[in-house]
Amino acid sequence: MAQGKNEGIFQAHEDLSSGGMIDKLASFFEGRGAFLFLVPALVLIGIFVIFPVVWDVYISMTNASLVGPSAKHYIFIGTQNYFRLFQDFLFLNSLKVSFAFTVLSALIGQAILGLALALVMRMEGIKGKILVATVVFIAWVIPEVVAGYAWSAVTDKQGLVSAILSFFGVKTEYSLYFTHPFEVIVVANIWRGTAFSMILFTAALEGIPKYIYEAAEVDGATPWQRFKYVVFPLISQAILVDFILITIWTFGVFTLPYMILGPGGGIGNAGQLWTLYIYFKAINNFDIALAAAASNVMFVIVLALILAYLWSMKYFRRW
Amino acid sequence: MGSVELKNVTKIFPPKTVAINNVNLKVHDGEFFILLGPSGCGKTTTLRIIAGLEKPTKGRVYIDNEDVTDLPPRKRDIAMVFQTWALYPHMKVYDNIAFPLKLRKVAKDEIDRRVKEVAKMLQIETLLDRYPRQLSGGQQQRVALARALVRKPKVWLLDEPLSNLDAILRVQMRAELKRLQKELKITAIYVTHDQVEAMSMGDRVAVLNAGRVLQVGAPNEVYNKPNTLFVASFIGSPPMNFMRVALKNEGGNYALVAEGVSIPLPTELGKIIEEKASDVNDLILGVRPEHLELSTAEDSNIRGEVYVIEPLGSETILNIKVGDNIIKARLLKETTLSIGSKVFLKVSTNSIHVFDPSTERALF
Repeated sequence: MAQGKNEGIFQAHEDLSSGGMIDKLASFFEGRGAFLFLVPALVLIGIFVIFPVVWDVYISMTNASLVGPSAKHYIFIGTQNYFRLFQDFLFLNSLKVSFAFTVLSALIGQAILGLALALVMRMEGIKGKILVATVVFIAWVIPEVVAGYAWSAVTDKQGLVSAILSFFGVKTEYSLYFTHPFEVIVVANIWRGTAFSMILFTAALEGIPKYIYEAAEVDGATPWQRFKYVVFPLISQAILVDFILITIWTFGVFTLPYMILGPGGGIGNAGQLWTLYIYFKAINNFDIALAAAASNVMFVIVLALILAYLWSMKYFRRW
Repeated sequence: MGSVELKNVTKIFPPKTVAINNVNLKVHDGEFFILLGPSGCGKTTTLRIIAGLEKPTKGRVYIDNEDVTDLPPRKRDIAMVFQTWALYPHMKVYDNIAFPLKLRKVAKDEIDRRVKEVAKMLQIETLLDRYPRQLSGGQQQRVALARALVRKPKVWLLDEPLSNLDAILRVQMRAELKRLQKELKITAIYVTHDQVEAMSMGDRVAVLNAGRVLQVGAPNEVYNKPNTLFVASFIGSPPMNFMRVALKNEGGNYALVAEGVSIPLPTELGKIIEEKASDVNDLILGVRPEHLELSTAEDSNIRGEVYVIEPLGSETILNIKVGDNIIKARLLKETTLSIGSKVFLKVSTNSIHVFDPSTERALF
C-alpha cells in the first residue's frame, strides 16, 4: 500500500519534469520570453533615466536658454559651455564650497557623530540613550522643507540661537544665517544626516560577535585599545560604505541649504553649493546650457570619488 | 603563582534567573581544576565571574588572595580560551598571538621571541602568516591556546575548548592540554560537560548542577564516592544503575532486597543506613556496570534475564532485566549468553551505593 503511494508520487514528478508544460515555459523564458518581461522596466528606465542623461549632455553643448529666442532655436556650440564654466568664479567657488561642505558636514560631522552615537547606544547603563536616538532619528525623517524652515527660524536674529546667546550676554545684531551662512548649513546638515550613519554603524557593531569584545577584554585591552585594534578594523568596511553613500548624498543636497540661504548661498556666496549654483544659473540666469554642463562636471567628479572609494576598498578586509 | 577562591558567590540574571547559588570554591596554585556539569548548570557563568566578564550579585572573588571582585578582566592577569576560540578575524595568526603582549607594550623583539616560542610549543609555526578563516578547527583552537599562553598569566581559564573539535582530535588535544598545563605549572580552570574529559584531565573536579556545587574532589574520589544521586548518575559511562530497594533487618542480618535483588550487608553498614534513611523501605541502590560480574546461582546477589547484548569489541555491555528495571553490566569478555537466558550477577558490598530518594544524598 505504502509502496504504491510512493510510486504514484514519483510518477507525478516525472510527468511534471518531462511533460510539455514546464519544458515549454522554460524554453520560453530562455529565449525571447525573458526579454519581453524586461521590456516595461526598460522602457521606463529609458524614458526617465537614460534619455534625460543623454539630453543633458546634448543641451550642455548648445546655447539653449530658459527664456528668449534661444529657448526655442538653440544651436550646437561644442564644448564652449565647459570653458565658460571653468572661467566662472562662482562655479569655482561652488566647487570649493561643496567639497568643504561634504568633508565637514558628512565625512567629519555625520560619520564621527554617528559612530560615537552608535557606540554609546551599545553601552550598558546609560540613561536617556533611547531619547537621544529618537531625537536623532526624527531629524532624519521630517520633511526637508520643514527642516529648512526650522533652521531658518532657529538661526534668525529673533530665533532660538540668538535668544540663548543673549541669555549669556552676547548681543546678535544680525541673523546667524546671514553672518555665517556656510557654518549654519554645515551644522544643519550634520543635524539632519547623522541618523543614517548611526544606524549603519549600529548594524555593523551588532555584527561583531560579543565574544570578540570579551576576548579583547580578557587579553588586557582598555576600552580605547578595544576600539582601536578590534572594533575599528572590523567595521572599517561599513565606514567605507557609509563614506560612499553620504558623499553621494551630500554632494546632491539641495533643499535644506536652499531653504536656509536661497540659491545665492548667502552673503558672498559663502554657502553656495554646487547644487545651488546649478539652480541659480538655470532658474535665475536662465542659462540652462551652462547649468547642464555644471551638472555633468558634478557627475564626473562624484563618480571619480566613488571609484576611488571602491578602489581603496580592496585595501580593507584582507582577512 | 595563581590560586583562585570564590566565597559565597551568587549570580542572578535579571529578573530572577539564579545562575549560580552560593558557590564556594578554592583552586590551588598549579592545579588543573575542572568545573563539570550539564548545560545550564552555571559552570560557564562561574568561569566568567572568575574572568571578570560577569559581576557576581553577591560574594567575593580572590586571585592570589587579592580581592578582584571589582576589577575589570584586564587587571586580573588571567587568560581565557573561549568555546568559539574568539580569534580576531582581521589579524593574522601571528598578530592574534602577539595581541596580549602588544597591549602591554612589550618590546617588539621580545614579542617576536615569545610568539615563536609558544607557536613552536603548539606546533603552529607554519601558520603564523595566515588569517583565522584559513585554518581548520583544530588549528584555530591551538592559536587560541597560544594567545592565552603567550603572556604567562596567573590563571588559565578554558571554556569547553575541545567541544568544537572532532572526536579524534579531541582525544589527542586532551592529552596535550594536560601535558602543557603540567609543563608550564600554570593554574587551569577548565569548564566541560564531558565527564570523560573531567576524569582524564583534572587534578580535582567540581560537579555542578542547577547553580550549586555538589561535590569537589579528585576524579577517583568523585567516581568512587559520589555524595549525591546526581553526581553518581553524571559520572561514569555507561552510567550507574539505579534500583528501588528496601532494607530488611532479620534479627541483625541486614540485606537490601527487591525483585531479583538480595544483597546481604555487613551489620555496621545496615545500621548506618537504618539510622540515616528517612524510610528504609524506600531506598535507591546504585551499582556501576563495571562492578557487576557474572557468577553462579549460589554466589549471586542479583538475578535477571538478558534483555539486549551490546558487543563493543574490547568489552560487552549486557542489558539485564531485573524486576522492572533494565540494568547494564560491563563484561570484559565475550559472552555465550543469548537474549532471554537467565543470568546471575554478583556485586561486592564495597562497590554499592545507597541513596535516600527524599534527599537524593548518599547514605554512606
